[in-house]
This record gives sequence, structure tokens and C-alpha cells, in this order.
Amino acid sequence: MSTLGKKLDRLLIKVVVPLVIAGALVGLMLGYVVFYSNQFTDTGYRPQQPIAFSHRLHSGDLKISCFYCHSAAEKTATATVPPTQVCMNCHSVVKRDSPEIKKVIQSFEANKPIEWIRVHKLSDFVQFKHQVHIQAGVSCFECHGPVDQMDVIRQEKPLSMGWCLDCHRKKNILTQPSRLEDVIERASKDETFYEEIKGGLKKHQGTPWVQEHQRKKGSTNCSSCHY
Amino acid sequence: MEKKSKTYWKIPETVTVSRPETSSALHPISEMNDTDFNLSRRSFMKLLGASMALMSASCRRPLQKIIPYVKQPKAIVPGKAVYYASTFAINNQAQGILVKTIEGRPVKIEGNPDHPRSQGASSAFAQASLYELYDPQRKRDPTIQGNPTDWKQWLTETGTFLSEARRQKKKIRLLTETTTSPTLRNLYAKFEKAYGVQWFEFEPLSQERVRAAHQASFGHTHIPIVHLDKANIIVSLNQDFLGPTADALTHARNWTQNRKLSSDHPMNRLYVIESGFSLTGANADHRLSKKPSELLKTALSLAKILVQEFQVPTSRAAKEVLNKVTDPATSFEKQFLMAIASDVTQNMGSSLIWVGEQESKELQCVGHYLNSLLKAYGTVIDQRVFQASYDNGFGSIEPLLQELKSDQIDVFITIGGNPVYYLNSEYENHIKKIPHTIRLCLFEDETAKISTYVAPLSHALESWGDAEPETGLLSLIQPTIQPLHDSKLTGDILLNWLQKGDWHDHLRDQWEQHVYSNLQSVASFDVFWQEALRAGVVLLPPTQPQSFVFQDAILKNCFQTSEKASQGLELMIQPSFSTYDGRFAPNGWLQELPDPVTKVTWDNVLAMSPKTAEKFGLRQENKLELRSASGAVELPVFIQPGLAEGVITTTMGYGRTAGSEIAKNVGSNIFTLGPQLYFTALEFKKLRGTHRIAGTQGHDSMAGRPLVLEATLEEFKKHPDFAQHAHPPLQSLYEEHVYAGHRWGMTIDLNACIGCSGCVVACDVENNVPIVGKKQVLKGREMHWLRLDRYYEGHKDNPRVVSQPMLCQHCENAPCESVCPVLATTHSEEGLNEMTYNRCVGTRYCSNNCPYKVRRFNFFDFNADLEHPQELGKNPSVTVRMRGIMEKCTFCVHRINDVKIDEKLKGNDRVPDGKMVTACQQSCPSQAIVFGDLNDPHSQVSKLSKQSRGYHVLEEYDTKPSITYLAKIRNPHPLLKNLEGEHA
Repeated sequence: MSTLGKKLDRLLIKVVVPLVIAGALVGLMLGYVVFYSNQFTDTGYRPQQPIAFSHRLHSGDLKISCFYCHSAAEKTATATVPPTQVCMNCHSVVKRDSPEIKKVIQSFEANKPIEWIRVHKLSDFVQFKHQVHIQAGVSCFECHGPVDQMDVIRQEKPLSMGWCLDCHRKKNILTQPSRLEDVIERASKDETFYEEIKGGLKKHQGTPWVQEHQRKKGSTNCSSCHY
Repeated sequence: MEKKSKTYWKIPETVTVSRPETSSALHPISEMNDTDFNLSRRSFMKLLGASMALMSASCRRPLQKIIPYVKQPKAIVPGKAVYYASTFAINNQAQGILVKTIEGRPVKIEGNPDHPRSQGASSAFAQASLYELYDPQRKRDPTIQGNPTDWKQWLTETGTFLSEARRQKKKIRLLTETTTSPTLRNLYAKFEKAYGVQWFEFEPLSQERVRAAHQASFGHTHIPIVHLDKANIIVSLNQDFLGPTADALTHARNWTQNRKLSSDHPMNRLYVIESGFSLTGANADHRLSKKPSELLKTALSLAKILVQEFQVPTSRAAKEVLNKVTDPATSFEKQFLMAIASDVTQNMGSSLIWVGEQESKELQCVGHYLNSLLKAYGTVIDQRVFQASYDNGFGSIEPLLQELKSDQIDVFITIGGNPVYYLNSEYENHIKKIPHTIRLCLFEDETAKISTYVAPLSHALESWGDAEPETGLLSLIQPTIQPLHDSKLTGDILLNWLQKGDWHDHLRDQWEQHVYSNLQSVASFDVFWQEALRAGVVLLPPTQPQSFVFQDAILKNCFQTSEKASQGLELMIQPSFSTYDGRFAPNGWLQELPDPVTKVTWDNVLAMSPKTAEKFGLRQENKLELRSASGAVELPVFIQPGLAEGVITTTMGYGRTAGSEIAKNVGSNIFTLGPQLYFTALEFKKLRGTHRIAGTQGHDSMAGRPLVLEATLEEFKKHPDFAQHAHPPLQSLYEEHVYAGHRWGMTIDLNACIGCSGCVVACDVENNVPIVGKKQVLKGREMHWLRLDRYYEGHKDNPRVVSQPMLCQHCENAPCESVCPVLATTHSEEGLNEMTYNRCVGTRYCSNNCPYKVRRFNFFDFNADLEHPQELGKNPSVTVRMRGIMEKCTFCVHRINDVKIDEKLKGNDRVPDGKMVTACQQSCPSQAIVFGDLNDPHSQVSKLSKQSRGYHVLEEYDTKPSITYLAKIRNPHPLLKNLEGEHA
């Protein structure tokens, strides 16, 4: 083989191959950083639930308060998925013949819990508390998205640490009053009001009810969530 | 000031000899070996490729389900803790507990503040009983000859041969562990009557001798309880009242009440004359070590001094006997007894001479005599309330043992306890010959192994029951979880044999008949029962006082016994802080809990003084064989300063051969030597080789710097600020932290801390701290977030002891924070030094830079050893850490957050003082630990931290710890102050 060929060979082995490998590695790492973030892996997660429960119907159209079913959210760390009994409060009468409701009745009669598929999940090393966020006046929609418009529940927000901190670092932004139920009631009835909440209620700045409920800065201590 | 002349030392030099690696370091868990890890380049590449491929393939997180209730019980709110009052009982003792359950699973045991015997504190044993509940090695099904069966068959078969035996008038014998439950005892008695059974009870730590001594001294067996808070002078003769018993909780609270210098009450003084080195001895103002056989003489000498030199009135007969008593052998002992005598005569009616329950009848009688001289009855010693006591020693089961030997028994039922482990091996063969053996137990233990019909008992946390540890104090046990396995209660099985129904109904009936009826309550029984369950305890009106008139005639007998002093090596056996009498041997938390004095884990050792060891040419970790008439035992030597010459002490409850993997092969069974707890003229032989002892002290040494400050009461009164040490002005490179809201801090009163280690277990349970096993402890990898440093001070032959709880100091200028390359450890706005596990990459720089050495590293995935159902017992509020993560005390930050949120929901901006209680603080029987907000000038912790006794450890480093220690104050007798060193 010619000397040039040899030189090219050497170049290939000593320069091009390492470069390609390095490039591939960098690409992998970048890919990992970009595509393995919660934004890509988690948002939009929309598994099929055992019962085709529609939040749009219950929360949006029928305007049932979130806390009617997720009753522990105001009081405890977990929002809790309602026991079958809660469904039966209405469905012992309402739409008993629907095939989906039959599954609920069956669960109640057989004393067999409905196995819902978890959508919103944080890592085990994060301690999220629902009650304190609700007390601080954070709307359910802020983290869970427009649930009242979802037929199938899906994860709307990335629920990543950066996303949490985006909110926690803001000071005195205007938000909802602490009686969240009022807001949800109103928001679920009034589309424009809902849009306003989403926009941070800038328009209401200076109005007395907003001033009363100005939010303090959220904690950014590591040990507020990690322990 | 004498402070500078004090020399503290941690470990006798003999310990630091190089330790040859032997194969004897057996331990049950974590047989992980970091040297086995062999990976060739080729396989590394393979693994790398595989993991890459897997990584890109796994896009979706695993499917997780949420399974709600169908009908949610009212009491259960997911994530919210519910507390149930219950009772923890061992032997003749019981303490009130509160069981914290989350979603129906007990996760923590705390003290019941309404219960007079626990007063809100909880002992290491009680807290660690949670481990037992979730132990994967518990017995799960009833078995017949080792074959699993169902309860129906088991009960039918046992019922059939029991009725048959009753019909044919064959011998049925029942051997149980001691219980104070009035309902269960009543049921045993009923069973005894119905089936013609003879019932025996047995405990290795029996009340047989204490009863015999009371019978001889006062003509009755009412054992009065003592009120240490009423005693100014306490003299203990081998009475380890702060030691490994359930009652120590009450005694520690009462004893430390007058040691905190906070009340107007004068500080009490504790003299300890003892053979071992007990925790009580470690807390003594004056300690005298004596051979067990010499104690009787010492007690009589004290009586003689009181009567002859201090003219305490007594009968003529007693005087005549005491005249014959020889004077103490050494001048130091004489001085010691003179000091006691002068103290107790000045404190008539508020002094107590307390002799250990396991001591000879004669010694205890002399103790009673001394107490009656000092008029202790009616003041320090209660005449109306008596502790539960039973004839449950080897003497009481002697008839049973005779019958066993002559193979006369047809049905032998053993409930609880572990008789085969305690008894000599010769009985094993006799028990095997019995036609029908029934065993009810928690674990498949030694006794279960040789029994035919074996059934699992439910754990106390799964059971209904009651306890009466002292007269008029009735304590209820209620279940906090459904039985995890197919187990039953003793009461249910007995009632089944008696065909009388259900244990729970029976318990209620009995309470209605015997408790409710005595209370003249206007409420209905149902209301009373609910309230009793809520409180956990019911107090009955006190009974008539008993008279305690000492019968002087027996003194002569005592004197004659004292003349028979023995020569040669003496052995004393004590209960263990880890296993008690062996029942807690399967308990990993307790096995890894260092003994408060020796700091040894996972072993029992032969402790002897350096002089004794030298005399027999023994060194630390040498193997020694002890031989008695009935057997031999092999144990390692441990050099323990402060023991009398010619005394060896060891602990019982080790060397189990069955029960669980953790219990097996840990230490040696000292019961093979025979039934006594004291041996004289023992033969011993040095064996070849060594046995490695896993002590926790040594790897955490703070290089001899004076970390514990102490003074005598006199010095303290002269210089109240002695604890403020001089150091050059401190200047920090960093900006000062500003704390706008809370500023969390802690004070630890070294004067109140007795070193019981209850806080260590509390921390383990609360924070999901893993156990690591002996092999890892030997490498210094134990994971305790909170440790107790024990320092010796003074003369090496009779050292004084100080214990110092050492945990993360939450420094303001934390050295760990500035070296973390990934910001995993940071400072919070409330003064906490935070540890963020998910950020930690395990460089261990922080641990390296920590002057307190309180950071712990997960060298292995210690939690990977968890077996079902152990994971149910983990605290859901605290992350379970994995390998390669640094961890340390968080000041129970999960509790802080919970309390803060609770207050926020109530509309409070700040947490009121006293609401936030850390796990260690909660368990502390002497309330030495106080936690709270330093920013609040009215909080208890700010007031305490400003006391003149307050100081920071290694303050001169300008780390500014959040923990303030309150210096230790001793209360020595002026006569003895300078003499202790001469005792050598």
C-alpha cells in the first residue's frame, strides 16, 4: 500500500475513530440531559385507567369540587384517591347501568379495591406535602394542569425539581386566596376566571382580596423536601 | 481549678494491640466482602455496553398502582399517624407505651406520658420490640413434628391428648415465662384446675431471692417499690437500678430529678459498691469494687459502723452479732463506709440502701436491716405499693426438674421463655422422651426444636392483654396491627382447650368483674373500657400499708454466712443490654447497640480488670475456657478497668443455637455453666487463638481532647462558669448566618444523661438506620447517627465514667458544608445542617472534615438485606438510603416539617415551644435532651443553653454548634474527695 494510504490509515485510527467515539459519547450525554429530563419522559403520561373516569365530566361539567373526592389533600401530605364508597355516594343511584359504573358497583359489592394507575409520581427521596401548598393558596391546576378539561387524566407538568423551584423562588407573586375551594368553584364555572388564575392574576394586583393573600416566598432549603 | 489536671482516656492500652484476622468473626447479616469484587476489563466493557443498551431501551417508568380502600375506616387517613396506648412487658415489669401506626402499621414505639412507670419515656428494649414484630424469621404456622399444619388440626390433636391425659390422671406440666397479666394468670390457674395440671413459671432473672429475703426479714413477700426522688443518699450494693431492665426507666427519671441542679432540692449522692462495672456504677459519685463474696461482709461492716460509731439505735441481739463483725480490710474501704455512715445518719428517712435482686438472701436481709435502721420504710420505700414478684427461679422449678429427670411427665407444655436454652443439656434428652410436648413461642427456638406440637404466638403488638407491674397499676395491651402470620394468643389457645370462647371477650369480662367493679364508676363499662384503652392505664386506690418490722434474729445467720468467704476467681453473670436474658437475641437493633460501659456489640465477653488479666497472663481478645461442674463455655477476654481483682463478669443471653439467623453464633451461652448467676472457684483455661471483639469505641476517638467538662458540686458553687474555657478570639472567614424565623438547637444535660442508650435505638427506629453486622462494626462502619461516647477519668484501677451523647452538632460554620463538591450538605435558614441524599455522590470529604466524626457512610446497600415483612416497619417519612450515600443526624427534620405544617394549618407562623420533640429527646428517661427554638428567648432550650454550665464541644474551632452541652457536676463526699486514687 502506498505511504499515503498508510498515513490515511494512521489518521483514521488515531484521529477519526477517537473523534467519532468522543462525538458519540458527547451526543449520548447531551441526549441524556435533554431527553431524559422529566419534561420528555413524564409529561403527557396518560395511561389507560381500569375505569374510564372522566375528570372533564365530574370536575368540569358537573363542577364537583376536587376535595369531594381527594378529601385528604387539604389535611394531609397525600391527596388520596377516593375509596369506592365515595363513588357510590352518587353512583348507587346515578347511571347504574353504564358498563363503567358497573365496575365500580362490582368493586363495592365484592369489597375489591379498584387498582388505579398512578400518574403523578415524585421520587422516593422527595417529600411533597399537599396540605401546606393548598394552605399557601396554590391552585390544584397549577401543578396538575387543566384537569377539568381532561377526559383521561395525564401528567401536564414535568414535576421536576427545577420546575418546583421556579415557583418557590418567586416572591410576592400574586395568586389565589387561601380558600382555594372558592377559586376552584369559580374557575370551574368561569373560563375567563380560570385563564386569569393561570396568568397569575396580574390584573388583580392591588385589589384588597389579593393583597390579603399575597404569597410568601416558598422555601428553597434542601431539607424542606429532601430528608 | 482541678480541671486541667484531669486526664481522660478512652480505652485501656491493651485494647489497641494489633488484631490478627481470624475466621471467627461470624455474623449473620451482610456477609458482603469488598475484596471479592473482581472485574476484568473485558467484562467491564460488556457490562458497560449492556447498561447503555438498557438505558436507551427503558423509556417508560414502571407501572405503579394506587389501590384505595373500598370502604375507608374512619380512623385511618393515609399518611397520618395514629397512636395507640399499649404496654411493653418483660418478666415482672411493664411500662406504658404509645405505638405510632401509619396506615395500620406500627412504625415507632414511644413512651406513654400518662403511665406512671414510663412517664413519656421508652426503654431501648421497648422500642426495639418493633424489630421482633417484623422479624422475617418469626414462626409462621403451627407445626406437628416439624410439619406445617392448620390450627384446627393442631388444636384438635392437642385437645384430644390433653383430655386423654386428664382422664387417665397422667402428669401434665405447664412451664411458662413470667407474666404480670392478672387475666392470663387467672386463666393459667383455671387451666391448672380443669386439667389437673401443675403450673410452673421460670425466669433466669427471677424474684425468688428477693422474695425469700423479704420472707425472712419481714415475714411476708410484699416487695415494696422505692421512690428514688425522695432519697438524698442512695447506696447500691450490686443493684444496677439504671441497668438493662424495664424498671430502669422509672428509676432513671426519679434519680435524675435531684441531679439537674434546677430545683431547690439538694443534689442526691450515689454510692455504689459492686462487683461488675454496671451503668449504675458508671453514674456513681463514689464507687467501690468488691468481689461478690465480700459484699456481705462490707454490708455488715457498714451496719457495725452505724451502730457502734454513729450510735444508731438497734436491738441487743443485733448489737451482739455486729460486735463480732471484723473491720474492713483496707483503710480506703473503712473511709468509704464511714462516709456513707455519716451521710445516711444525717439523712435519716431520706436514705436508701439497695441490694440487687439477684444477690444472696443474706445480703438482701442485711440490706433490709440497714434500711430499717435508717427509717427508710414509709418514706423512700413505699409501704403501700408493691411490685409484682413470683416464685420463678431454679428453686421453684426444682420439683419439675426432678420429674423431668425421672421421665414421669406425659404432657409438657411450655409457653414463652426458652427453657431448653436456660437448662442444662441433660434435660434436653429427657424432654425428648416425653410422649407429648406442646410449645407456644414467637420464634422456632431451642425449645421449639425438640417439641412435637409447636405453635406461633402473636407478638405483643398484635395482641390483647393486660399487665399489673405493681399493685393497683393496671396496664392494657391492645393490638396495633392484625397478626402478620398465622399466629394465636396464649389466651386464645388456653380458652380453646377449656372450650370457653374468645380471649378478647374474656379479658373484657375479667376487667368488668375485677377492675370496673372496684372503681365505683358512674360510667357504663363500655365507656370505662374505651377510656382505659385510650389512656392505656387504670389506677386502683392504694391498698392498706404493710408493716416492715425487721426480724433481728436472722442477722446471726447472715453473719455466719459472711464468714465463709471464698478464695480464687469469681464469676458474676449479669443481664445484657442487648439480649436481656436471651429473649432479645434475634433483635438486630439491640445486638448492634453497644453496651453502655464496654461498648462491645454482637458479643458477650469476659470482663476482668487489667491486674487480673496480667496475673493470669491474659490479653484482650484471648480465648478463655471456663469450666464448672456442669459444663464449659468459651469466651474472649475483655480488659475492663475498675473491676475488683479476681472477678470476671459477663453477660447472659448469647450463644443461642436456634431462633433466628441473627441470634445464632453470637457469643456463648453462659447458662451451660449451671443455674447460678455467681460462681466461685471456677476453673479456667487459656485457649489458643483470639476472638475479635467488635467494640464501637476506638474508631471514633477524639484524640484525648477534653470534650466532657465536669466539676464537683463544691467547685461549681465557687466557679459557676467553670465550663467556659478560654480560647483566643475567634474570627470567621464566612459571613454570619441570619435566622429570621426559627433557629433550632438542642441542649444535652450531661448531669442527667445516664448513658442508657435508649436514644440510640430511638434514632435507629425513627430514621431507618440499618444494622450492619459484626464484620462491618469491626471496620468502624456502624451507622448509628447518635452514639454515646464513654470516657474514663481518674485512676485506672477505679475510674470514673462520663457518657456523652454525640450526634451532628449542626454547626453554624459547618466544616462539612464547605468541602462538599456537589452541595449535598448545606445550611438551612433555620440553622439545620442539611443532608441531601439524592445529591450525594459519596466523596466522604464531609466526614473527613467533621471534627465530631458523626457522619456515617453507606459502604454497602445495607437495606438490601431487608426481607418481607421488614419493609413494613420503616418510617415512611424518612428516605431509606442506598449504597454510597453519606448520612447523619437531621435533628429529626421530618418531625420539624410535620410540626411546622400542623401549625401553619392552624394559622400559627411559629412553632410553639415544646411542640417539636426529636426522637432521642422523646425516649430519654432522664429528660437530658431538650430541643427547641434558640431564637425564642422564652423557650426551654434557650434558657438552658444560657446556663453557666453550658458549653460547646470544640468551641475553639469556631464551628458554632447548635448543641449546647451542660457540664457534668458530681457530688462527692468531702471525706472521700481525694482518696479514690489511693484505692489502688
